[in-house]
Amino acid sequence: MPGQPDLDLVRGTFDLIILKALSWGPMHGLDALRWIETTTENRLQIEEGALYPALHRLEKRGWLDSTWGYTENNRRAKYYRLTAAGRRQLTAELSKWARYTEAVGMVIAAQGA
Amino acid sequence: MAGRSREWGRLRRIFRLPSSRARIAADVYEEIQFHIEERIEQLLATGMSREQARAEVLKRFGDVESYQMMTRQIDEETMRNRSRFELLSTLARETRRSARVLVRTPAFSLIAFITLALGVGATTAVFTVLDAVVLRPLPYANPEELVSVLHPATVPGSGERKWGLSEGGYFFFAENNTSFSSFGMYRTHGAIVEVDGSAETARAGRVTPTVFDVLGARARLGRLFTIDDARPDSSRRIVLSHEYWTHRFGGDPAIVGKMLRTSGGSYEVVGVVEPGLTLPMPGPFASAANLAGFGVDIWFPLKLNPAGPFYNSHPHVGLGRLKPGVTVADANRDIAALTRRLPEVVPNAYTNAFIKDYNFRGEAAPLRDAVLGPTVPKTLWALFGSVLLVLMIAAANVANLFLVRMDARRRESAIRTALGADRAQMATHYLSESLILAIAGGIAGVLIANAGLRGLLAIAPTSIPRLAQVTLSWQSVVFALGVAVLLGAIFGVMPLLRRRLDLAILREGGRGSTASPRQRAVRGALVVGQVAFALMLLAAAGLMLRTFANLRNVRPGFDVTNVLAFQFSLPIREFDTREKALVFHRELQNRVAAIPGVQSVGATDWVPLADYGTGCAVVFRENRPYRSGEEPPCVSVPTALPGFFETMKMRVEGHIPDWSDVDALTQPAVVTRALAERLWPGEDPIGKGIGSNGWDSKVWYRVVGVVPEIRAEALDRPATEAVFYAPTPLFPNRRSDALNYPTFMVRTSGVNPESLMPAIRRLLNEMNPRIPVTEARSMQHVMERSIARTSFLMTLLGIAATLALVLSAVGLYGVISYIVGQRTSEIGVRIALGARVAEVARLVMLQSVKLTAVGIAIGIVGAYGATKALQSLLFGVTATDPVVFASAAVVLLVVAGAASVAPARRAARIDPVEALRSE
Repeated sequence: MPGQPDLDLVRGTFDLIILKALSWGPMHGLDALRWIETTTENRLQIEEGALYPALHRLEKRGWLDSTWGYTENNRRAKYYRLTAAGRRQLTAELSKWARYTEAVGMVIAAQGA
Repeated sequence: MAGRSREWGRLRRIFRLPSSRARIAADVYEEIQFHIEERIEQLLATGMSREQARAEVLKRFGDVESYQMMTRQIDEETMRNRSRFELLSTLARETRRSARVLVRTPAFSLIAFITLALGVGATTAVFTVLDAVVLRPLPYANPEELVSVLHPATVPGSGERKWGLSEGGYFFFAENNTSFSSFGMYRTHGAIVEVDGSAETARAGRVTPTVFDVLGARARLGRLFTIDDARPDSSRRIVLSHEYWTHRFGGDPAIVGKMLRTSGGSYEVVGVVEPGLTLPMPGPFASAANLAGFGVDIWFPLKLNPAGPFYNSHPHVGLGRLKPGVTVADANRDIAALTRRLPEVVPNAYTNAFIKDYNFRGEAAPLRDAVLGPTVPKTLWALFGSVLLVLMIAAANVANLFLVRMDARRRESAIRTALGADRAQMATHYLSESLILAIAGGIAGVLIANAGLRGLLAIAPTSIPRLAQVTLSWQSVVFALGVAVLLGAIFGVMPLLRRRLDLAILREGGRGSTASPRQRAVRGALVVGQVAFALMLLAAAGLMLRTFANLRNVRPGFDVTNVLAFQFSLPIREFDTREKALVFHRELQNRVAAIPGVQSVGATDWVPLADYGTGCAVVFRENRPYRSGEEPPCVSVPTALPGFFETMKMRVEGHIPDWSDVDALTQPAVVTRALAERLWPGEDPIGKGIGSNGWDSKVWYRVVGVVPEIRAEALDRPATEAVFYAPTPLFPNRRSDALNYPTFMVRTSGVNPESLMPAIRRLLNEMNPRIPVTEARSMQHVMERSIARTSFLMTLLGIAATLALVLSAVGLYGVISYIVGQRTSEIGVRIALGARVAEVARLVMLQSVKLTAVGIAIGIVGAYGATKALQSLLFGVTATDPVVFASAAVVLLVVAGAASVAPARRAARIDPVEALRSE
């Protein structure tokens, strides 16, 4: 596997990551996790179990919708997908994150020290 | 299309929603298991052993148990939120839909609404009174522990009475009872207080110090009484009521230690009691003025000497608080047994002969029962029963309306059923409509009750205790809405009771709807029930009407029209002898007689139809002691001042005592015929000696006249036994309460008696500013008040019966019209075959009469049982009076006939061609 997980999750970003993962289409929890691993080249240190309370919390807020379905090898799994509200939330979170990283970047790039 | 898909989405969400905790747990478990197993498979593919793979997966996953639990909790919260949301949105949706439907059929909605509002309103108004007077506990700490202690006795000549306690009896009970944790007694009277040179009356409670313990009262300021305050030789101390202290002394915080002058001397204020404390007044001690308990202004200690002397006099209310675990029955046995021992422990007040002759007993009763007496709860329950009947009649009408409407909507419900609506969905559908209507009716009912209550209180007899405290309470509102919701639920569930939901109607095209025989039977039963209830109410109202008429027809033996009765007190310190009081009386009589419009003036100390029967004194006859076995009569002993008989227009055979008798200091008396016949049967009473000082007295009043027959106790009681004493003393120079607390009677020559009061007050003030008028009323008013209970019941039952009659007529009209509508084609055929108009009309009327007759038959049976509860409230008519029952039946038949005239005419006018074509 490329890379070793060495980055702790910055607080509040897990929701954003999950929403982003699901923006590609409906997937079950493990799929979402695999997407995250692949996309981040496995750099994020995530305890896998934490995914589920997070998913359900997002569902409770109305950002996700869930339904039971079947995988390619015919196993029952719970699929999640973004709702319209979830998509709006994702957009808002992304722009917030962009402004945040920009600000942090400006701090780091500042001359002096 | 968009709306459709939104609907679809919502449905899917509902079905997918994990709906129970078990379901949530299973889902979460499965979801996480899937993750773990899938991961293990993945690692197995890289060649790991199963154990290694499992360990690796679990390590990466973290604490499975705790993640599962967190997830479950989140889902459970989601479930709760969603079900709440679903409920609210369903409710809102159904409410909107129902409101629309109701507005679309305004006639139905309005009639149902008004009927319900009236029914609920009337019931709630009466319930409020019942609740406040009968159901709610007395306003004392742990009121269920309080018992009244009284002496019932059968007084020869005037029947069963309840007397209070004597001083001797009190001491014996206080020391020897085993039932009470505290025990006290009290009496009440008026007091004259002097403030800034002018006099005013105050209400006095004279209590043993223990009374405060029994009532559980605390001092607000200073202290309450101790045993020491009640010793005969202790100095004069009083406690003020919180109300008197605030109103009269502006809540003076330094009141304790100050002196208060009364007509009996100066008293030191030692304390102020907590607000709202009143003295409960059981049965015989209750009067119009102390309904809500006697509102004491000034509390005096009841000073008693344990050493005696004791008399056979019973003016005190006994009150005890039960020890824990002791029942009222125990206390009653205790007091009864102690009473039987009175001759042995208080021999100079009680003899065994007295106990036997008077059937003198001791009784401990729950204070509540004693305060309310037997007739008040009965009156109010009777009234409540009658408004419940009205409510049921009203409900039957509304039920009928719903049935008709249901019929009209069979097609709609059939379609809904066909589309797969299940019973629960249909229930929500119908319930939301009927509940909206019922709740609206309930709210309007509360408003009606509030208005009705004011009317009710305006005509209510003043002899109903605690009535002054009656206001619309939260209990009444809960009651009204409870009744409304219950009715709404019944109406809403009714359509679901139909056994099969007939889809056939869809094929028929919804025309020519013939109701099932079952439906028609239900409708008929509703009307029969209405008629039955209406008959019961009519019978009850009729019985009260006859009672009232009988009372009005009683000749009391005196004339109350155009007579004023006003009462005042002559301060005892200033008027300390008969002579001084008599001088004042005479002067006042002369001056009142001079007021224009005044015909005659007299005075007495017992007001007819108010005071008679509230107490009595044993009378003796000269030279003829009562033989053993002969009951010594205890009778009314009013003092009659000159002018009394003339003013009351009370006929006297013989001589009427006048001022010359008073001047000559002779002792004339006038007896009623009823008493004369008991004392001297078959003899001429004129010249006989009579008195209340024992048979061995040396001095006697002399009978100079006989009053033929008066009913001074109450119009429904037997002829009064009384002796009217002249205001001349048997013993010279003693004071007389009769002269210090007199009631003047003034007959006018036609002017309203109460209009004289300003002139009389002016007069009194001129003569002596320290004399307050304590009460002023017309005798007409006194008499009306004495039969107020009957007129109250009569009025309300009359209103209830009228309502019932109107509602039943509406119900009958509705059902007969409906039947005519159902049988249109049949009638058309009959007319086509040559039936005459009269025959058709008769056919319809017969329907109505049949239903009514069945209702009347059932109603008579019901009334036969129900009116028995009224028996003790009736006078001169039995509870099953056939005339009343028959009249009620006739009235109902006539009304039923009238209600079916219009439908009958409509039936007669049916055009056979038209009727048959529409088939």
